[in-house]
Amino acid sequence: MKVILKGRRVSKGTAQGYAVVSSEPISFLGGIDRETGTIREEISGLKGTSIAKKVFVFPTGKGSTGGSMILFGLAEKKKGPAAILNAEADTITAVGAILGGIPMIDRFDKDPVSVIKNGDFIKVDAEKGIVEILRNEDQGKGRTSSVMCDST
Amino acid sequence: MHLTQEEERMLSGEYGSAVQKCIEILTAVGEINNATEMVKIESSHISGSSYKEAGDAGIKLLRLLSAARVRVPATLSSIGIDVQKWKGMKIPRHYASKQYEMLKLYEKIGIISACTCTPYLSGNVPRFGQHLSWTPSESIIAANSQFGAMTNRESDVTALASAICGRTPMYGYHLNENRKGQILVKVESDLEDVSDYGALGYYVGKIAGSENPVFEGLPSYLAIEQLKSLGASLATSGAVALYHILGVTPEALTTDVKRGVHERITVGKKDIEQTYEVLSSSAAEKVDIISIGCPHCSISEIRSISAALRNRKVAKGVSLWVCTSLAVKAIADKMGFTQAINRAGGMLLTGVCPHAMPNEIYGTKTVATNSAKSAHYIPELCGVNVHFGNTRKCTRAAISGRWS
Repeated sequence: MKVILKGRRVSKGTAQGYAVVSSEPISFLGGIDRETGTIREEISGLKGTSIAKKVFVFPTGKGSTGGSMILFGLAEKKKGPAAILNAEADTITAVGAILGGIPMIDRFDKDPVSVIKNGDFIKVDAEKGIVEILRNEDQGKGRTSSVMCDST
Repeated sequence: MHLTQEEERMLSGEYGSAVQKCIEILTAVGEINNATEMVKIESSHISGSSYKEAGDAGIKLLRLLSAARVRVPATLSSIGIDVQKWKGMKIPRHYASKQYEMLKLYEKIGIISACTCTPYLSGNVPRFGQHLSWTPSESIIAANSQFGAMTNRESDVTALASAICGRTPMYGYHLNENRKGQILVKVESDLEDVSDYGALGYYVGKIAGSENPVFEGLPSYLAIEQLKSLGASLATSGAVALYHILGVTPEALTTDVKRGVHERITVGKKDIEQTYEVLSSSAAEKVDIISIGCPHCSISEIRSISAALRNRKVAKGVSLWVCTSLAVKAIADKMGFTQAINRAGGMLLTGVCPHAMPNEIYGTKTVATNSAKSAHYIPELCGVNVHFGNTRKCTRAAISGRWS
Protein backbone atom coordinates (compact mmCIF):
# COMPACT_ATOMS: atom_id res chain seq x y z
CA MET A 1 0.00 0.00 0.00
CA LYS A 2 1.13 3.49 -0.71
CA VAL A 3 -0.08 6.92 0.27
CA ILE A 4 -1.97 8.66 -2.45
CA LEU A 5 -2.78 12.37 -2.51
CA LYS A 6 -5.25 13.79 -4.99
CA GLY A 7 -5.13 17.37 -6.23
CA ARG A 8 -5.67 19.68 -9.17
CA ARG A 9 -3.40 19.79 -12.19
CA VAL A 10 -1.68 23.15 -12.67
CA SER A 11 1.00 22.13 -15.19
CA LYS A 12 0.85 18.87 -17.11
CA GLY A 13 3.29 15.96 -17.14
CA THR A 14 4.58 13.08 -15.04
CA ALA A 15 7.76 12.86 -12.98
CA GLN A 16 9.37 11.24 -9.98
CA GLY A 17 12.06 12.13 -7.50
CA TYR A 18 12.98 12.68 -3.87
CA ALA A 19 11.07 15.33 -1.94
CA VAL A 20 12.43 18.66 -0.71
CA VAL A 21 9.80 20.17 1.61
CA SER A 22 9.62 23.78 2.74
CA SER A 23 6.95 24.79 5.23
CA GLU A 24 7.43 28.43 4.16
CA PRO A 25 6.42 30.16 0.90
CA ILE A 26 9.09 30.35 -1.81
CA SER A 27 10.29 33.31 -3.86
CA PHE A 28 12.18 32.00 -6.88
CA LEU A 29 13.65 35.47 -7.56
CA GLY A 30 16.26 35.84 -4.85
CA GLY A 31 15.31 32.66 -2.99
CA ILE A 32 16.79 30.17 -5.46
CA ASP A 33 20.15 30.44 -7.23
CA ARG A 34 19.34 30.91 -10.92
CA GLU A 35 22.42 28.99 -12.09
CA THR A 36 22.49 25.98 -9.74
CA GLY A 37 18.98 25.56 -8.34
CA THR A 38 20.29 25.80 -4.76
CA ILE A 39 18.12 27.34 -2.05
CA ARG A 40 19.72 30.63 -0.97
CA GLU A 41 17.42 31.69 1.85
CA GLU A 42 17.27 30.32 5.38
CA ILE A 43 13.89 28.67 4.98
CA SER A 44 12.87 25.50 6.83
CA GLY A 45 16.56 24.68 7.38
CA LEU A 46 17.00 24.15 3.64
CA LYS A 47 19.67 26.78 2.82
CA GLY A 48 22.21 25.16 0.49
CA THR A 49 19.86 22.32 -0.54
CA SER A 50 19.43 21.82 -4.29
CA ILE A 51 15.96 21.56 -5.82
CA ALA A 52 17.37 20.24 -9.10
CA LYS A 53 15.50 17.08 -10.18
CA LYS A 54 13.70 16.99 -6.81
CA VAL A 55 9.98 17.07 -6.13
CA PHE A 56 9.73 20.51 -4.55
CA VAL A 57 6.92 20.80 -2.00
CA PHE A 58 5.94 24.18 -0.46
CA PRO A 59 2.74 25.95 0.58
CA THR A 60 2.68 28.63 -2.13
CA GLY A 61 4.91 31.06 -4.05
CA LYS A 62 5.60 34.70 -3.26
CA GLY A 63 7.72 37.63 -4.41
CA SER A 64 8.46 39.20 -7.77
CA THR A 65 6.91 38.05 -11.04
CA GLY A 66 10.49 37.69 -12.32
CA GLY A 67 10.40 34.37 -10.43
CA SER A 68 8.61 32.74 -13.39
CA MET A 69 11.62 33.41 -15.60
CA ILE A 70 14.03 32.02 -12.96
CA LEU A 71 12.06 28.77 -12.82
CA PHE A 72 11.92 28.55 -16.63
CA GLY A 73 15.67 29.27 -16.84
CA LEU A 74 16.45 26.52 -14.32
CA ALA A 75 14.33 24.04 -16.28
CA GLU A 76 16.18 24.96 -19.48
CA LYS A 77 19.52 24.25 -17.73
CA LYS A 78 18.18 20.92 -16.38
CA LYS A 79 18.55 22.39 -12.88
CA GLY A 80 14.84 22.77 -12.25
CA PRO A 81 12.70 20.67 -9.94
CA ALA A 82 11.28 17.39 -11.33
CA ALA A 83 7.83 18.48 -10.12
CA ILE A 84 6.19 21.09 -7.87
CA LEU A 85 3.51 20.39 -5.28
CA ASN A 86 1.77 23.32 -3.57
CA ALA A 87 -1.02 23.64 -1.06
CA GLU A 88 -2.30 26.57 -3.14
CA ALA A 89 -0.58 27.51 -6.40
CA ASP A 90 0.29 31.13 -7.10
CA THR A 91 0.54 32.70 -10.55
CA ILE A 92 4.32 33.24 -10.54
CA THR A 93 5.22 29.61 -9.82
CA ALA A 94 2.49 28.24 -12.09
CA VAL A 95 3.65 30.31 -15.08
CA GLY A 96 7.28 29.24 -14.53
CA ALA A 97 6.25 25.58 -14.25
CA ILE A 98 4.19 25.65 -17.45
CA LEU A 99 6.97 27.41 -19.36
CA GLY A 100 9.56 24.96 -18.08
CA GLY A 101 7.38 21.89 -18.68
CA ILE A 102 7.52 21.07 -14.95
CA PRO A 103 4.53 19.02 -13.73
CA MET A 104 2.70 20.86 -10.94
CA ILE A 105 -0.31 20.03 -8.74
CA ASP A 106 -2.11 22.00 -5.99
CA ARG A 107 -5.29 21.94 -3.84
CA PHE A 108 -4.79 18.40 -2.51
CA ASP A 109 -7.23 16.45 -0.38
CA LYS A 110 -4.56 16.61 2.36
CA ASP A 111 -1.88 19.26 2.99
CA PRO A 112 1.20 18.05 1.05
CA VAL A 113 3.54 20.17 3.20
CA SER A 114 2.66 18.23 6.36
CA VAL A 115 2.14 14.79 4.79
CA ILE A 116 5.30 14.66 2.66
CA LYS A 117 8.68 14.49 4.44
CA ASN A 118 12.11 15.47 3.14
CA GLY A 119 13.62 12.53 1.32
CA ASP A 120 10.34 10.71 0.58
CA PHE A 121 10.30 9.27 -2.92
CA ILE A 122 7.43 10.80 -4.86
CA LYS A 123 5.71 9.80 -8.08
CA VAL A 124 3.75 12.63 -9.67
CA ASP A 125 1.08 12.25 -12.33
CA ALA A 126 -0.17 15.75 -13.02
CA GLU A 127 -2.49 14.53 -15.78
CA LYS A 128 -4.55 12.67 -13.18
CA GLY A 129 -3.66 15.05 -10.33
CA ILE A 130 -2.25 12.11 -8.35
CA VAL A 131 0.82 11.93 -6.10
CA GLU A 132 2.19 8.65 -4.74
CA ILE A 133 4.39 8.82 -1.63
CA LEU A 134 6.97 6.14 -0.85
CA ARG A 135 8.61 6.77 2.51
CA ASN A 136 12.38 6.90 2.48
CA GLU A 137 13.19 4.59 5.44
CA ASP A 138 11.08 1.85 3.88
CA GLN A 139 12.75 2.36 0.52
CA GLY A 140 16.05 1.44 2.18
CA LYS A 141 14.55 -1.85 3.36
CA GLY A 142 13.39 -2.58 -0.14
CA ARG A 143 9.68 -2.42 0.58
CA THR A 144 6.92 0.07 0.83
CA SER A 145 4.32 0.25 3.52
CA SER A 146 1.34 2.34 4.30
CA VAL A 147 1.80 5.68 5.98
CA MET A 148 -1.10 7.23 7.76
CA CYS A 149 -1.48 10.61 6.30
CA ASP A 150 -4.34 11.66 8.53
CA SER A 151 -2.00 11.51 11.53
CA THR A 152 -0.88 15.03 10.73
CA MET B 1 -12.94 27.38 -16.33
CA HIS B 2 -15.32 27.56 -19.28
CA LEU B 3 -13.42 27.88 -22.56
CA THR B 4 -14.93 28.90 -25.90
CA GLN B 5 -14.48 26.70 -29.00
CA GLU B 6 -11.73 29.00 -30.20
CA GLU B 7 -9.91 28.75 -26.88
CA GLU B 8 -10.25 24.95 -26.96
CA ARG B 9 -8.69 24.98 -30.43
CA MET B 10 -5.73 26.98 -29.07
CA LEU B 11 -5.39 24.53 -26.19
CA SER B 12 -5.45 21.50 -28.50
CA GLY B 13 -2.47 22.83 -30.42
CA GLU B 14 -4.38 23.69 -33.61
CA TYR B 15 -2.56 27.06 -33.82
CA GLY B 16 0.86 25.60 -32.97
CA SER B 17 2.80 24.93 -29.81
CA ALA B 18 3.59 28.59 -29.00
CA VAL B 19 -0.10 29.54 -28.89
CA GLN B 20 -0.82 26.33 -26.98
CA LYS B 21 1.76 27.23 -24.32
CA CYS B 22 0.27 30.72 -23.99
CA ILE B 23 -3.33 29.54 -23.55
CA GLU B 24 -2.13 26.90 -21.04
CA ILE B 25 -0.60 29.74 -19.01
CA LEU B 26 -3.73 31.88 -19.20
CA THR B 27 -5.98 28.95 -18.26
CA ALA B 28 -3.82 28.06 -15.26
CA VAL B 29 -3.72 31.71 -14.11
CA GLY B 30 -7.50 31.88 -14.50
CA GLU B 31 -8.08 28.72 -12.48
CA ILE B 32 -5.70 29.81 -9.72
CA ASN B 33 -7.64 33.07 -9.44
CA ASN B 34 -11.08 31.42 -9.66
CA ALA B 35 -11.96 32.97 -13.03
CA THR B 36 -14.78 31.21 -14.82
CA GLU B 37 -14.04 32.53 -18.30
CA MET B 38 -11.65 34.54 -20.48
CA VAL B 39 -12.33 38.10 -21.60
CA LYS B 40 -11.15 39.45 -24.97
CA ILE B 41 -8.61 42.24 -24.60
CA GLU B 42 -8.21 45.32 -26.76
CA SER B 43 -4.52 45.97 -26.26
CA SER B 44 -1.45 44.73 -24.52
CA HIS B 45 1.65 46.47 -23.21
CA ILE B 46 4.60 44.26 -22.45
CA SER B 47 7.68 44.53 -20.23
CA GLY B 48 10.39 42.01 -19.55
CA SER B 49 12.10 43.52 -22.50
CA SER B 50 15.22 44.45 -20.55
CA TYR B 51 18.08 41.95 -20.85
CA LYS B 52 19.20 42.84 -17.33
CA GLU B 53 15.92 41.52 -15.90
CA ALA B 54 15.06 38.69 -18.27
CA GLY B 55 18.55 37.31 -18.89
CA ASP B 56 19.28 34.43 -21.25
CA ALA B 57 16.12 32.64 -20.09
CA GLY B 58 14.16 35.58 -21.51
CA ILE B 59 15.80 35.16 -24.92
CA LYS B 60 15.13 31.40 -24.88
CA LEU B 61 11.48 32.01 -24.08
CA LEU B 62 11.11 34.55 -26.88
CA ARG B 63 12.69 32.14 -29.36
CA LEU B 64 10.21 29.51 -28.19
CA LEU B 65 7.25 31.85 -28.71
CA SER B 66 8.50 33.59 -31.85
CA ALA B 67 6.44 31.29 -34.09
CA ALA B 68 3.29 33.00 -32.78
CA ARG B 69 1.88 36.42 -33.68
CA VAL B 70 -0.07 38.89 -31.55
CA ARG B 71 -3.85 39.06 -32.01
CA VAL B 72 -4.27 42.58 -30.57
CA PRO B 73 -2.28 45.83 -30.78
CA ALA B 74 0.69 45.42 -28.46
CA THR B 75 3.57 47.71 -27.51
CA LEU B 76 6.88 47.07 -25.82
CA SER B 77 7.96 48.84 -22.66
CA SER B 78 11.34 50.49 -22.08
CA ILE B 79 14.49 48.40 -22.49
CA GLY B 80 18.02 48.31 -21.06
CA ILE B 81 19.83 50.48 -23.62
CA ASP B 82 19.23 53.64 -25.58
CA VAL B 83 18.00 52.30 -28.89
CA GLN B 84 19.77 54.98 -30.92
CA LYS B 85 23.03 55.87 -29.24
CA TRP B 86 24.11 53.06 -26.93
CA LYS B 87 27.61 53.09 -28.42
CA GLY B 88 28.25 56.59 -27.07
CA MET B 89 27.26 55.42 -23.60
CA LYS B 90 29.94 52.75 -23.16
CA ILE B 91 27.36 49.96 -22.89
CA PRO B 92 29.23 46.62 -23.03
CA ARG B 93 28.90 45.17 -26.53
CA HIS B 94 27.74 41.78 -25.23
CA TYR B 95 24.90 43.40 -23.29
CA ALA B 96 23.85 45.53 -26.24
CA SER B 97 23.79 42.61 -28.67
CA LYS B 98 21.66 40.46 -26.31
CA GLN B 99 19.30 43.40 -25.81
CA TYR B 100 19.08 43.93 -29.55
CA GLU B 101 18.30 40.24 -30.13
CA MET B 102 15.41 40.46 -27.64
CA LEU B 103 14.07 43.53 -29.39
CA LYS B 104 14.09 41.80 -32.79
CA LEU B 105 12.28 38.73 -31.36
CA TYR B 106 9.52 40.92 -29.90
CA GLU B 107 9.16 42.66 -33.25
CA LYS B 108 8.92 39.27 -35.00
CA ILE B 109 5.97 38.36 -32.75
CA GLY B 110 4.32 41.57 -33.97
CA ILE B 111 4.89 43.78 -30.97
CA ILE B 112 5.51 47.45 -31.70
CA SER B 113 8.85 48.47 -30.20
CA ALA B 114 7.60 51.75 -28.76
CA CYS B 115 10.13 51.10 -25.97
CA THR B 116 8.39 53.21 -23.37
CA CYS B 117 6.65 52.85 -20.03
CA THR B 118 4.27 55.66 -21.06
CA PRO B 119 2.79 53.99 -24.18
CA TYR B 120 -0.23 56.31 -23.87
CA LEU B 121 2.09 59.13 -25.05
CA SER B 122 3.15 56.99 -28.03
CA GLY B 123 -0.10 55.81 -29.58
CA ASN B 124 -1.24 52.94 -27.32
CA VAL B 125 -3.98 54.84 -25.51
CA PRO B 126 -6.43 52.96 -23.27
CA ARG B 127 -10.12 53.89 -23.32
CA PHE B 128 -12.57 53.89 -20.43
CA GLY B 129 -13.91 50.43 -19.63
CA GLN B 130 -11.65 48.54 -22.05
CA HIS B 131 -10.20 45.22 -20.93
CA LEU B 132 -6.42 45.16 -21.35
CA SER B 133 -3.44 43.06 -20.39
CA TRP B 134 -0.68 45.45 -19.37
CA THR B 135 2.61 45.49 -17.52
CA PRO B 136 4.92 46.91 -15.97
CA SER B 137 3.52 48.37 -12.76
CA GLU B 138 3.66 52.08 -13.71
CA SER B 139 1.86 51.40 -17.01
CA ILE B 140 -0.74 49.16 -15.29
CA ILE B 141 -1.64 51.81 -12.73
CA ALA B 142 -1.84 54.51 -15.43
CA ALA B 143 -4.19 52.39 -17.58
CA ASN B 144 -6.49 51.62 -14.64
CA SER B 145 -6.45 55.02 -12.94
CA GLN B 146 -5.76 57.77 -15.48
CA PHE B 147 -7.89 56.14 -18.18
CA GLY B 148 -10.37 53.91 -16.33
CA ALA B 149 -9.44 50.88 -18.43
CA MET B 150 -9.23 47.45 -16.77
CA THR B 151 -6.07 45.43 -16.37
CA ASN B 152 -4.67 43.11 -13.75
CA ARG B 153 -1.09 43.33 -12.54
CA GLU B 154 0.24 41.17 -15.34
CA SER B 155 3.75 39.76 -15.47
CA ASP B 156 6.07 39.91 -18.49
CA VAL B 157 4.97 36.42 -19.46
CA THR B 158 1.21 36.71 -18.87
CA ALA B 159 0.96 40.00 -20.80
CA LEU B 160 2.81 38.40 -23.72
CA ALA B 161 0.61 35.28 -23.56
CA SER B 162 -2.50 37.51 -23.55
CA ALA B 163 -1.29 39.50 -26.56
CA ILE B 164 -0.72 36.24 -28.47
CA CYS B 165 -4.12 34.75 -27.49
CA GLY B 166 -6.03 38.08 -27.50
CA ARG B 167 -7.52 37.19 -24.11
CA THR B 168 -6.99 37.31 -20.40
CA PRO B 169 -8.73 35.47 -17.57
CA MET B 170 -11.66 37.47 -16.18
CA TYR B 171 -10.87 38.19 -12.52
CA GLY B 172 -9.44 40.91 -10.28
CA TYR B 173 -9.47 44.41 -11.76
CA HIS B 174 -11.63 43.26 -14.70
CA LEU B 175 -14.56 43.08 -12.26
CA ASN B 176 -16.17 46.32 -11.03
CA GLU B 177 -16.52 44.94 -7.49
CA ASN B 178 -12.71 44.98 -7.14
CA ARG B 179 -12.30 48.57 -8.36
CA LYS B 180 -13.86 50.37 -5.40
CA GLY B 181 -11.72 52.73 -3.37
CA GLN B 182 -10.66 51.22 -0.05
CA ILE B 183 -8.45 53.79 1.67
CA LEU B 184 -9.49 57.43 1.71
CA VAL B 185 -6.41 59.67 1.59
CA LYS B 186 -6.90 63.28 2.60
CA VAL B 187 -4.02 65.38 1.26
CA GLU B 188 -3.24 68.42 3.41
CA SER B 189 -0.01 69.49 1.78
CA ASP B 190 0.59 71.76 -1.20
CA LEU B 191 2.18 69.75 -3.98
CA GLU B 192 3.74 71.15 -7.11
CA ASP B 193 6.55 69.33 -8.86
CA VAL B 194 6.25 65.79 -10.23
CA SER B 195 8.59 64.77 -7.41
CA ASP B 196 6.04 65.97 -4.80
CA TYR B 197 3.45 63.67 -6.34
CA GLY B 198 6.05 60.91 -6.40
CA ALA B 199 6.68 61.42 -2.68
CA LEU B 200 2.92 61.36 -2.01
CA GLY B 201 2.53 58.10 -3.92
CA TYR B 202 5.51 56.53 -2.20
CA TYR B 203 4.16 57.46 1.24
CA VAL B 204 0.63 56.20 0.50
CA GLY B 205 1.73 53.03 -1.35
CA LYS B 206 3.45 51.75 1.79
CA ILE B 207 0.21 52.03 3.74
CA ALA B 208 -2.11 50.86 0.94
CA GLY B 209 -0.29 47.63 0.06
CA SER B 210 -2.49 46.21 -2.69
CA GLU B 211 -5.62 48.19 -1.79
CA ASN B 212 -7.11 51.00 -3.90
CA PRO B 213 -6.51 54.52 -2.51
CA VAL B 214 -8.97 57.37 -3.11
CA PHE B 215 -7.40 60.83 -2.90
CA GLU B 216 -9.28 63.90 -1.83
CA GLY B 217 -7.96 67.43 -1.53
CA LEU B 218 -5.90 67.38 -4.74
CA PRO B 219 -6.43 70.14 -7.33
CA SER B 220 -8.74 69.36 -10.24
CA TYR B 221 -6.25 70.67 -12.82
CA LEU B 222 -3.70 67.87 -12.30
CA ALA B 223 -1.47 67.31 -15.32
CA ILE B 224 -0.70 63.93 -16.84
CA GLU B 225 2.92 64.33 -15.65
CA GLN B 226 1.80 64.61 -12.02
CA LEU B 227 -0.56 61.64 -12.39
CA LYS B 228 2.05 59.35 -13.92
CA SER B 229 4.50 60.24 -11.17
CA LEU B 230 1.90 59.57 -8.45
CA GLY B 231 0.95 56.22 -9.99
CA ALA B 232 4.49 54.97 -10.57
CA SER B 233 5.45 55.56 -6.94
CA LEU B 234 2.22 54.06 -5.52
CA ALA B 235 3.19 50.92 -7.44
CA THR B 236 6.77 51.09 -6.13
CA SER B 237 6.34 51.13 -2.34
CA GLY B 238 3.08 49.20 -2.60
CA ALA B 239 1.42 46.78 -4.99
CA VAL B 240 -1.21 49.37 -5.92
CA ALA B 241 -2.75 48.84 -9.38
CA LEU B 242 -5.56 51.40 -9.19
CA TYR B 243 -6.14 54.75 -7.50
CA HIS B 244 -8.92 57.28 -7.75
CA ILE B 245 -8.78 61.07 -7.32
CA LEU B 246 -12.07 62.73 -6.49
CA GLY B 247 -12.97 65.19 -9.23
CA VAL B 248 -10.12 64.08 -11.50
CA THR B 249 -9.89 60.41 -12.57
CA PRO B 250 -12.63 58.99 -14.83
CA GLU B 251 -14.10 56.41 -12.46
CA ALA B 252 -14.23 58.97 -9.65
CA LEU B 253 -16.25 61.21 -11.98
CA THR B 254 -18.73 58.50 -12.97
CA THR B 255 -19.16 56.22 -9.93
CA ASP B 256 -19.19 56.50 -6.16
CA VAL B 257 -15.63 55.29 -5.65
CA LYS B 258 -15.81 55.94 -1.91
CA ARG B 259 -18.37 53.17 -1.33
CA GLY B 260 -15.75 50.59 -0.32
CA VAL B 261 -13.68 52.81 1.99
CA HIS B 262 -12.81 51.15 5.31
CA GLU B 263 -9.78 53.22 6.34
CA ARG B 264 -8.97 56.93 6.32
CA ILE B 265 -5.56 58.58 6.46
CA THR B 266 -4.29 62.13 6.24
CA VAL B 267 -1.04 63.11 4.54
CA GLY B 268 0.55 66.36 5.71
CA LYS B 269 3.55 68.46 4.78
CA LYS B 270 5.78 66.63 7.28
CA ASP B 271 4.97 63.22 5.76
CA ILE B 272 6.02 64.48 2.33
CA GLU B 273 9.24 66.01 3.68
CA GLN B 274 10.10 62.79 5.51
CA THR B 275 9.53 60.77 2.33
CA TYR B 276 12.12 62.94 0.53
CA GLU B 277 14.56 62.05 3.33
CA VAL B 278 13.72 58.33 3.27
CA LEU B 279 14.31 58.19 -0.48
CA SER B 280 17.61 60.11 -0.40
CA SER B 281 20.21 57.47 0.29
CA SER B 282 23.29 59.57 -0.52
CA ALA B 283 25.09 62.02 1.76
CA ALA B 284 27.63 62.98 -0.92
CA GLU B 285 27.67 66.62 -2.01
CA LYS B 286 29.10 65.86 -5.43
CA VAL B 287 26.76 64.31 -8.01
CA ASP B 288 27.80 62.43 -11.15
CA ILE B 289 24.57 61.47 -12.90
CA ILE B 290 21.27 63.35 -13.05
CA SER B 291 18.50 60.97 -14.09
CA ILE B 292 15.16 62.43 -15.21
CA GLY B 293 12.35 60.59 -16.98
CA CYS B 294 10.98 57.80 -14.81
CA PRO B 295 8.26 57.33 -15.98
CA HIS B 296 9.36 58.57 -19.42
CA CYS B 297 9.18 62.34 -19.94
CA SER B 298 6.33 63.99 -21.79
CA ILE B 299 7.07 66.72 -24.34
CA SER B 300 6.16 69.36 -21.72
CA GLU B 301 8.72 68.02 -19.26
CA ILE B 302 11.39 68.03 -21.97
CA ARG B 303 10.50 71.60 -22.84
CA SER B 304 10.95 72.75 -19.22
CA ILE B 305 14.30 71.02 -18.91
CA SER B 306 15.59 72.48 -22.15
CA ALA B 307 14.42 75.93 -20.95
CA ALA B 308 16.19 75.49 -17.59
CA LEU B 309 19.42 74.72 -19.46
CA ARG B 310 19.24 77.78 -21.72
CA ASN B 311 22.65 79.55 -21.80
CA ARG B 312 23.95 77.06 -19.21
CA LYS B 313 26.31 74.10 -19.34
CA VAL B 314 26.14 70.79 -17.57
CA ALA B 315 29.14 70.63 -15.20
CA LYS B 316 32.26 68.87 -16.40
CA GLY B 317 32.21 65.15 -15.62
CA VAL B 318 28.47 65.18 -14.90
CA SER B 319 25.99 63.23 -17.05
CA LEU B 320 22.44 64.50 -17.50
CA TRP B 321 20.06 61.79 -18.71
CA VAL B 322 16.58 62.80 -19.82
CA CYS B 323 14.70 59.60 -20.71
CA THR B 324 11.76 59.50 -23.10
CA SER B 325 10.27 57.48 -25.95
CA LEU B 326 11.26 57.56 -29.62
CA ALA B 327 7.91 59.15 -30.51
CA VAL B 328 8.21 62.02 -28.02
CA LYS B 329 11.83 62.59 -28.99
CA ALA B 330 10.77 63.04 -32.61
CA ILE B 331 8.68 66.02 -31.48
CA ALA B 332 11.50 67.29 -29.26
CA ASP B 333 13.82 67.16 -32.30
CA LYS B 334 11.32 69.15 -34.34
CA MET B 335 10.95 71.76 -31.60
CA GLY B 336 14.69 72.13 -31.05
CA PHE B 337 14.50 70.87 -27.44
CA THR B 338 16.82 67.94 -28.14
CA GLN B 339 19.45 70.25 -29.63
CA ALA B 340 19.13 72.63 -26.65
CA ILE B 341 19.74 69.78 -24.20
CA ASN B 342 22.66 68.49 -26.30
CA ARG B 343 24.20 71.96 -26.56
CA ALA B 344 24.17 72.23 -22.78
CA GLY B 345 25.96 68.90 -22.54
CA GLY B 346 22.99 66.73 -21.55
CA MET B 347 21.53 63.70 -23.33
CA LEU B 348 17.98 62.97 -24.40
CA LEU B 349 17.86 59.18 -24.17
CA THR B 350 15.25 57.13 -25.99
CA GLY B 351 13.60 53.85 -25.16
CA VAL B 352 15.68 53.20 -22.09
CA CYS B 353 14.71 52.62 -18.46
CA PRO B 354 17.40 54.08 -16.17
CA HIS B 355 17.24 51.10 -13.76
CA ALA B 356 17.61 48.57 -16.55
CA MET B 357 20.93 49.91 -17.80
CA PRO B 358 23.92 47.68 -17.02
CA ASN B 359 25.61 48.38 -13.67
CA GLU B 360 28.91 49.13 -15.44
CA ILE B 361 27.38 52.46 -16.47
CA TYR B 362 26.85 53.40 -12.84
CA GLY B 363 30.11 52.22 -11.29
CA THR B 364 30.40 53.93 -7.90
CA LYS B 365 28.77 57.17 -8.92
CA THR B 366 26.16 59.28 -7.13
CA VAL B 367 22.84 59.84 -8.85
CA ALA B 368 20.28 62.63 -8.44
CA THR B 369 16.71 62.12 -9.61
CA ASN B 370 13.26 63.74 -9.49
CA SER B 371 11.60 60.30 -9.60
CA ALA B 372 10.54 58.56 -6.38
CA LYS B 373 10.49 55.28 -8.28
CA SER B 374 14.07 55.74 -9.49
CA ALA B 375 15.18 56.84 -6.01
CA HIS B 376 13.83 53.53 -4.70
CA TYR B 377 15.12 51.20 -7.41
CA ILE B 378 18.50 52.67 -8.43
CA PRO B 379 20.20 51.76 -5.10
CA GLU B 380 18.65 48.27 -5.18
CA LEU B 381 19.15 47.42 -8.86
CA CYS B 382 22.20 49.48 -9.82
CA GLY B 383 24.12 49.49 -6.54
CA VAL B 384 24.61 53.27 -6.15
CA ASN B 385 23.18 55.93 -3.83
CA VAL B 386 20.79 58.69 -4.85
CA HIS B 387 19.59 62.17 -4.01
CA PHE B 388 15.85 62.65 -4.48
CA GLY B 389 14.60 66.18 -5.10
CA ASN B 390 12.41 68.30 -7.34
CA THR B 391 13.09 68.94 -11.02
CA ARG B 392 14.55 72.42 -10.42
CA LYS B 393 16.98 71.05 -7.84
CA CYS B 394 18.01 68.30 -10.27
CA THR B 395 18.70 70.67 -13.18
CA ARG B 396 20.63 72.98 -10.81
CA ALA B 397 22.71 69.99 -9.72
CA ALA B 398 23.40 69.17 -13.38
CA ILE B 399 24.83 72.67 -13.86
CA SER B 400 26.80 72.92 -10.61
CA GLY B 401 27.73 69.26 -10.13
CA ARG B 402 26.69 69.65 -6.49
CA TRP B 403 23.59 68.75 -4.51
CA SER B 404 22.52 71.73 -2.44
